Amino acid sequence: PAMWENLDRNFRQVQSVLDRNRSLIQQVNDNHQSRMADNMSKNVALIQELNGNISKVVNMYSDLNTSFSSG
Amino acid sequence: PDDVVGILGQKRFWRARKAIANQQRVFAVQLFELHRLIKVQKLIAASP
Amino acid sequence: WEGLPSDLASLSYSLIPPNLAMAFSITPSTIQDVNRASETTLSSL
Repeated sequence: PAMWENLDRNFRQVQSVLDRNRSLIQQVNDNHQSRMADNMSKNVALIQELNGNISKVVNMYSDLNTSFSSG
Repeated sequence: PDDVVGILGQKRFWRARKAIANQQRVFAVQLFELHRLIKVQKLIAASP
Repeated sequence: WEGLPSDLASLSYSLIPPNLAMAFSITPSTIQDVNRASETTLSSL
């Protein structure tokens, strides 16, 4: 059960980040479509967050892999 | 996979597999989107 | 408008390490696609 719990927890964590990314992408898209100068400035921050989240997911999965293998 | 099924059990193995496969797919899409959005952002910045 | 990540994970980056993929028997991505898609977005704008 410990193995599964570990996996499950990891999946949920990753999924929450992925969900967040989904909405981030949506926002950036909409901002682009709006063609407003304000929104372009906002997009920089949004894209930064998105990139950070992507690498977060990468790290999460490498952790998952390590714990999975060792476990 | 045999061994994993042994440890996790059949049902959980498939759940985990689905989760991994799905997350991998979503991740790939989002990675692509990230690249695309950055590109678009730069293009827009180039021609305000 | 351009703090943007320079830092990016490669497009072909595989989230699942090979041994994990094999453990779950998951079978496994180009920059041209990105260019095409972004050009399309821009032209629609």
